[in-house]
Amino acid sequence: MKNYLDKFAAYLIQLADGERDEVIEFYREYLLDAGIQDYDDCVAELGTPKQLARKILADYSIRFNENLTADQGKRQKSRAGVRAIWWVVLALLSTPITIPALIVILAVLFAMAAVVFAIGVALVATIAAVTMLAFSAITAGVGVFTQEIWVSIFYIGSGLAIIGVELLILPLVVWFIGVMIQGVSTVVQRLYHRFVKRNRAERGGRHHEENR
Amino acid sequence: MAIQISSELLDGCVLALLSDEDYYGYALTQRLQTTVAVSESTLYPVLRRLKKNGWVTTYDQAFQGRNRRYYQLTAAGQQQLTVIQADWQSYYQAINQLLKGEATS
Repeated sequence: MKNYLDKFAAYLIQLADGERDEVIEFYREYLLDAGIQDYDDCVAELGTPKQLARKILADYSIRFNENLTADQGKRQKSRAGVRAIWWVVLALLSTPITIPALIVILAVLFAMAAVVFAIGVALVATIAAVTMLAFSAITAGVGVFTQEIWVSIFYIGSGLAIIGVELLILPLVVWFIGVMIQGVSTVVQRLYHRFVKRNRAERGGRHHEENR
Repeated sequence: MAIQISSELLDGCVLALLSDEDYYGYALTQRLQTTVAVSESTLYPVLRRLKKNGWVTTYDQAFQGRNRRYYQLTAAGQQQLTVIQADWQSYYQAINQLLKGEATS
């Protein structure tokens, strides 16, 4: 049992000390009360240390994220979103689920990754292209300054105008990326609720029947 | 049982049990499992949430040279329980009507 809890504790390294102690104390007490000593019996009761830890951590990240939605800044929200995605994916992967469900989950994750990647590439390419256009207009303008003063001023002017518009749009792009991360985070959390929660409950139910 | 319990309802069940007497983790899990299909590892997140919301408090009591952490309903928890009971009543009636096919008009 000590071995089981030590392994469990090692997986909870991200939690604050107080939180971690409380979780471990809860399950130590639980196993003592259940009269479970052997490592294998612990696994039969609560799952492997890894599964248990990921379940706890996924729960933390999700709750954390929900609270953030109410009262925290956008930047922190995206960061918490990314972390939630990460833990939920790990929790999903550590759970025994049926093959069709796994295929659906992987397909959705893959599709989302592809879409996000495509949008990201498109954004970066567009910004790079527009910036290059602006700079070449300015360079061309400076180049012809001695010969054609009006043409030169036109080029420099339009170059600066393009950069100006770009700077105006930039906050919008950042906002859009934030929204996208939030969206992906939400979808992944739904997946987690849909598959992991139900799956655990079913296992609990079956286990319960065996007890009778 | 084939029907899966929602987390609000599970909160309600735990609060209701605690309104009778104080429980420690293992006993509470055992008691719940006689009625609802919850896995052994599910209860900690539930209790943590209830405690964070101020609906339950904990106290430790020595038992055979170690501590047992008991969970106790607070006044706010009692209030929350009545809210959940009322929600459940209306939900129960609506679903019941639907299932019996009385909702067709």
